[in-house]
Amino acid sequence: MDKKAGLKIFKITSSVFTLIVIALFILAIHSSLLDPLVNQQMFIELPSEDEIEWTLEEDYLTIKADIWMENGGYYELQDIDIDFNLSGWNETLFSDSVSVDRLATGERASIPVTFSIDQVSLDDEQMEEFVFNSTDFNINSRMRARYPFSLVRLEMIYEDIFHWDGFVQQLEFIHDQASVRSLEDRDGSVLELPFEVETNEMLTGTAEVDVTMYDENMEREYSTDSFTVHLGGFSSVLLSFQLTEELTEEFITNSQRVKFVSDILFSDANMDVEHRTYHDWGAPLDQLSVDQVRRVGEQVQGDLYFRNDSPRDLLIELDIHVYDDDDLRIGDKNRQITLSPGETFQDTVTVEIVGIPTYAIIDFYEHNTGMEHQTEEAVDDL
Amino acid sequence: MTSKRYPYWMIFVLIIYLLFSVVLVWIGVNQIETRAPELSFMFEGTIRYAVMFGVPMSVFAGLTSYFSKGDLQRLVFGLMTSALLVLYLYFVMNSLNLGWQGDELVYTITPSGILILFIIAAALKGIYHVLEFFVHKGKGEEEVVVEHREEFPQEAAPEETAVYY
Repeated sequence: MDKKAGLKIFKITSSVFTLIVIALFILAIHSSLLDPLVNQQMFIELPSEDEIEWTLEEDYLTIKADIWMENGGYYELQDIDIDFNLSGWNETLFSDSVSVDRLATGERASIPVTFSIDQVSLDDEQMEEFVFNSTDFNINSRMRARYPFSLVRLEMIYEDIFHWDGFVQQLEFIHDQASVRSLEDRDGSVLELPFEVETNEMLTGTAEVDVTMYDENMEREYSTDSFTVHLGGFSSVLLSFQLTEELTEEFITNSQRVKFVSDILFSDANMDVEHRTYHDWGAPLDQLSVDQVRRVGEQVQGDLYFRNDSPRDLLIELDIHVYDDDDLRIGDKNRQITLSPGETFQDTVTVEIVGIPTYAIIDFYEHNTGMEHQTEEAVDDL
Repeated sequence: MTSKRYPYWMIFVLIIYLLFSVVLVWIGVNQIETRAPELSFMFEGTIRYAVMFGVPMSVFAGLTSYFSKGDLQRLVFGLMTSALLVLYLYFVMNSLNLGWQGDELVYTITPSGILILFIIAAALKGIYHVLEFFVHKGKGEEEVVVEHREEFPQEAAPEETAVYY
């Protein structure tokens, strides 16, 4: 072959090669960059919050979801690696990686992804926040793939905020409906406190809740109650705390802050969490005082004071009985007192008597709640 | 005897190379940054590399065209043009962050394989200059001699006198 002809052939061949490379470049840019940009079709589709399945199994919290991948380009995608991680509280909570060998042109495939986290890996503060509080987690996914012969390498990083509503979305006492009710068959009373629980809809099964009531400083355990909650919705429960006679006296006449520790056991998941809250108990006969009970001629008088610190209207029936030395009743007085929340009663009560008074018994009965209280005072003979 | 020179062709080639390697790149990048500022992240020093390698490449491409085929100077400048083309392609394409960024999504592509093919195409150009030199070696001077003879008809050759001692 003539050298010049050979040179010409070489020149033509290299020019054709260059044109082919340019064409490949344009096609690759169009397929991998322009087309997805214009048509908003990404190669990877993350699930929405509704499509994510959460389960509690043994000690593990598991998240399951399907990741969809679609290749709408001109080239097959190869060596596809997808890394996921879910982070919160400045640390990675979940992470997983998935690899797919190839995705042909026009193919759409789903990849099941499973994240699991061991409850033990969360500290108490994180566990409480995870169970009881709404939290935002960061979800980060990274996909890497390549076209055949590594003509083009793709990398996609997706970041989003995943809002977590908590397992227990509402756990609170209905403070304005608290009341003390006397027991009919024995001494003491019952502190009744409505309690509302709302749990995440994705939960199923039941949870056992043990609620213990303490004084403000958590030094004295007052009482406990427990109940079962059906998960996945809203529940309203009336907690009843048995109070001894001594505690009854205290709760009727002294407003105080009480603390509740709720121990929640999610049965199916073997997950045990503790939640602390408090309740400012308003006593119906707060700061009750009966002063200067005295005989004045044919009367017994006493200065009565108390404050309705409860959230309810009180309809109190006051019965005063005066007795002599032989325990014979020598005088009675009945009076009805209505008090709104926050209102005080302060008055000198007078009872007409026949005889020589020694002591007086004052009975309080609250009609709305059935609360009963009795106090005995000596009568001073002035 | 020197081979033919092509000064106008040199200027033409230089301008063409400058136009495609520097001017159009500069215009393209500026247009994108003006019309779509959110895509500005795609260019990390692209214009700088285009000027850095494109200007000398254009100069050497012009000088290559100045000389005739078969000239050693043409070979040298041709190889240097090809080398600068390789560097131009490597740095300019690596300066491109092709893709886009949104609030939640960052998408980039790297045409690594295609870059290698471009470099191979540039290297073929260098090989072509080598082959061209060996195929056309000395032909440039012959062309000038032929033109010279046509312009100036051949004079009678002087008689050779043998001198014997």
